[in-house]
Amino acid sequence: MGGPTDVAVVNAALWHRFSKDRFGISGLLIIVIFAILSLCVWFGILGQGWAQTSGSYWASASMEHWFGTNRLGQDILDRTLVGAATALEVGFSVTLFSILLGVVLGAISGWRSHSWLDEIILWAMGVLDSIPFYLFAAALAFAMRGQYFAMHLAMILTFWTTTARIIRAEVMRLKQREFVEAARAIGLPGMTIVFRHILPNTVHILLVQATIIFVVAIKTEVILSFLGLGVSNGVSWGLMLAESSQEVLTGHFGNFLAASLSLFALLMGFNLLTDALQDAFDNRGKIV
Amino acid sequence: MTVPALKVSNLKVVLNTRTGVRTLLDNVSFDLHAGQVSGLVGESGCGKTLTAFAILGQLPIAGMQVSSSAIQINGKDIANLTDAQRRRVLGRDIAMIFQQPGRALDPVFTLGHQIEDVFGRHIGGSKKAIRQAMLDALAGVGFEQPEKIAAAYAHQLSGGMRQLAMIAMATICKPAVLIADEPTTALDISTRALILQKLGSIQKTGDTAILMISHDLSVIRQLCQQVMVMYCGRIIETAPNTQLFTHPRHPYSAGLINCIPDIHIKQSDAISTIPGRVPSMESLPAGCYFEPRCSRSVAECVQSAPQLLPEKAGCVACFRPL
Amino acid sequence: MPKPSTPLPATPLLDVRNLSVSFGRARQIAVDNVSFCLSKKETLGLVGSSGAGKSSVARSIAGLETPESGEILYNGIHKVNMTRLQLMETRQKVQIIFQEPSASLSPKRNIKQILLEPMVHFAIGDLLSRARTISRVLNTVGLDTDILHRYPHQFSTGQQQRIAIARALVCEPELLIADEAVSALDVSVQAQILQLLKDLQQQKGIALLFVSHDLGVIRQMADRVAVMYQGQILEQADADIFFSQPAHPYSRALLNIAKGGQDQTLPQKLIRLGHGRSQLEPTDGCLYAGNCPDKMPLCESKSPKNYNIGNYNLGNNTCEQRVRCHLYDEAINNETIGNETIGNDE
Repeated sequence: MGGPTDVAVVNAALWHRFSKDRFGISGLLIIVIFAILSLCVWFGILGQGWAQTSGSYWASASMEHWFGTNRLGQDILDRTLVGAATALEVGFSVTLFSILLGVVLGAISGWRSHSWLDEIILWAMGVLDSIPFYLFAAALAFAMRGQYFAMHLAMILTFWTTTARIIRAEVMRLKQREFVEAARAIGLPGMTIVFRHILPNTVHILLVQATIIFVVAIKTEVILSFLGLGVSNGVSWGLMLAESSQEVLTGHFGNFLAASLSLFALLMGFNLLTDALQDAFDNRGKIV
Repeated sequence: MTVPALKVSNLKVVLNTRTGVRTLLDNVSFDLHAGQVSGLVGESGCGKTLTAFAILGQLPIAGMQVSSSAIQINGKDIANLTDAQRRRVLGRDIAMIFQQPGRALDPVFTLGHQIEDVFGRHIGGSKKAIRQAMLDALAGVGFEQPEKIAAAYAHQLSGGMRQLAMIAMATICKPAVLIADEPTTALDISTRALILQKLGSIQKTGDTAILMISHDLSVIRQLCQQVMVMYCGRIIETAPNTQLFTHPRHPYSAGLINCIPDIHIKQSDAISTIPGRVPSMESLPAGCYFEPRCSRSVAECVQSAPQLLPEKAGCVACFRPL
Repeated sequence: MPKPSTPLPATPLLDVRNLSVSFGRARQIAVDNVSFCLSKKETLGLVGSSGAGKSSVARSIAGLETPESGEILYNGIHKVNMTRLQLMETRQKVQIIFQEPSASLSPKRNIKQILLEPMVHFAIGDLLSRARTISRVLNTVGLDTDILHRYPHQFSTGQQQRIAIARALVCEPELLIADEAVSALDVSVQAQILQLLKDLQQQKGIALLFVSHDLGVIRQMADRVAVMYQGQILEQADADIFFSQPAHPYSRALLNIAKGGQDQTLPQKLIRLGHGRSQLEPTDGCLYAGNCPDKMPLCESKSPKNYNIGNYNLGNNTCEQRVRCHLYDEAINNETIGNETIGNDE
């Protein structure tokens, strides 16, 4: 019911709620730090010597090599930084394209629910969800003859389904609301209504979904690279972990620690962000 | 002087917001007596439902502070109870029915199950006795085939039937106090009449005090013996039914009653309205809340808030009552 | 003074003929063979309980639902026969106001965008004139122009409904459909909105199709009344006639309850499981027969037609009342009267 009390509830600023959440802020901070480091790598400021072999193998941490060196004498710090850049690049591109694909197909499916178009899209989602992911990735890598983007493609082509399902449900729910009927009553075309009126009301869901997919993409890349299906020419944490699986047996933990701790930190940051975002968006029963 | 079935004294609810402290309920006090229906009337946002939740102990929600000098059922305090103690009281000594029965009933259990659950928790007994009590309760509210209803789920029934089932569930333990929060608002005219009939017959048994919360004055008029008018969290008038509708004392009550569209005669000139809008919580006037919209206001009304004072057979909070 | 019921002009603004609407796989009947007309500057009140089909009628006229059969003529032209341009024009001229003001405004759009959208869509005016129209319309509904940058949730329900009305007004409508438009409002806000609608009708000659279950509101707003029950119109009459001399037993029952009478029979009959009618299970006979106190044996087997009840003289005006009930079938009445009393020859 409308009234003075409800206005106070609704008006509480999103940012204000979010900013009170210490965990959320620290999560955001971690991500920002990694993002800055990655940008430095991309612009050639940091981590450029990741492929350079030096004479000292498995050197422990020193002034010259802050994290020590690996089996080939490559600087672990540099490799870690470039790994971060890789992780973020994979995460970002996979998230962006899978969300786009998911939104478009989910919106069409939801607006035209129970039509043949909807059935086809649902069928496609069912099929893609049934294929074991790593087999799919392997098959794609093989078919694309080891191209770098095979990994991205495999992820995008399978990750869009969760977003699509969520968006489909939201569109189906919202299209019954009077504001959509008002738009239909003046004769606006369906897709205009969907993109102008319905989808903006799903932004909060998409934001949370994006952070979740980001995490899954990074983790998937790590596993794919570990399996040799991912990054081959560059360096990523997955590759580092793959390398370290042998090294650890001989007592050299440098690679392992650098990769896994960085991975842990970044993913933790994202998880904290996701939780904080969800809390900030869910204002039911909470009055600021 | 008999002990009132429900006594509420100086109920005050404030809300801490970023921009300051807002008063949602301001010194609300009233008594309910068994065998009587008291109406709490007011427009959206005035605090009627909040009052009900405060009585039931469902506040505070984050940011709210609740205080009162007394909330008692038959003399027994219910304001300062532990959770366990409160669970024994709710449903047994005091019960509530809601505006949207479809939402208040659990969709995954049959109605019979839900009603038996209430009875079993508070009064208990053998399975057979509980089932019989449930069937009796359903028959009591007017269902001709209680077994059928008991086996049904909420979505299989119409709005009116759900509301009747909810009344059965609320009254099965014969509570001293029944709070009805807009029970007929979502129903159409004939179902509304049925529900009001049922509530009337509960009142006539003389055991229960009913608090009827509504913004619909015609419903209040039909059912309630005593009426309290609320505006922005304050009770501004209490009066017996006949007095309120024939000679309201507070200008807001009078305005509200005039706004009810008359079914008998078509007004040839303008429909009477109360000018302006209900003030928002952030911008409540310093003195009388209704003053900005009142045609009878004087300087005193702007400066200080009038107290609820006895006048004829009721009370009114106004410096210049009608 | 009751509104005179002049003979309908040659082409009424809205002419609904034999409209039927059903939906769902079970072919639930929402509207069953409904016919009525509406002229300029006239208000038709459509009353009935929830599920009677009033909203479906309103929405079909607004173009939100496709009728199963029947014709909707606007300004004499059958909707199906309209060209694209004519159809677009009709959409502009026929505007609908919904029951829930908060749900009828797009939550993530500000007021300016909400008011501009129909103007842009219908290509009304240009940049300058649109701004002028918006301030003029906001003035008409009693709102300030400084609200344009705000969002719907920042307003009270009364204000939201005014914004919804403003959105309808920017299109310069000829027909306004109010689908329970005041039912969700507090009584004082309702009074303000009703007054606003009345003023608009006076000033702009807008025809109003007013759907409501509240007979008090209908009394104040409507020139004519149509009563719906389970998809059918059971009675249509001038408002004054309807409220003083309702013909159909259902109308009488409704008015009885609304006026606070103690009709015992109607409420009890509601205790039944189940929902509305389905096309798959055709029913003969009058739909109201199950609850009707004046039921005759004929009523269960044969569906009544529409009968015109004389032309009452109300002062200097002649009025019309049409009812769908066997009680008013002259042939039957003559027979019955003949049987009962005066002893006509059979």
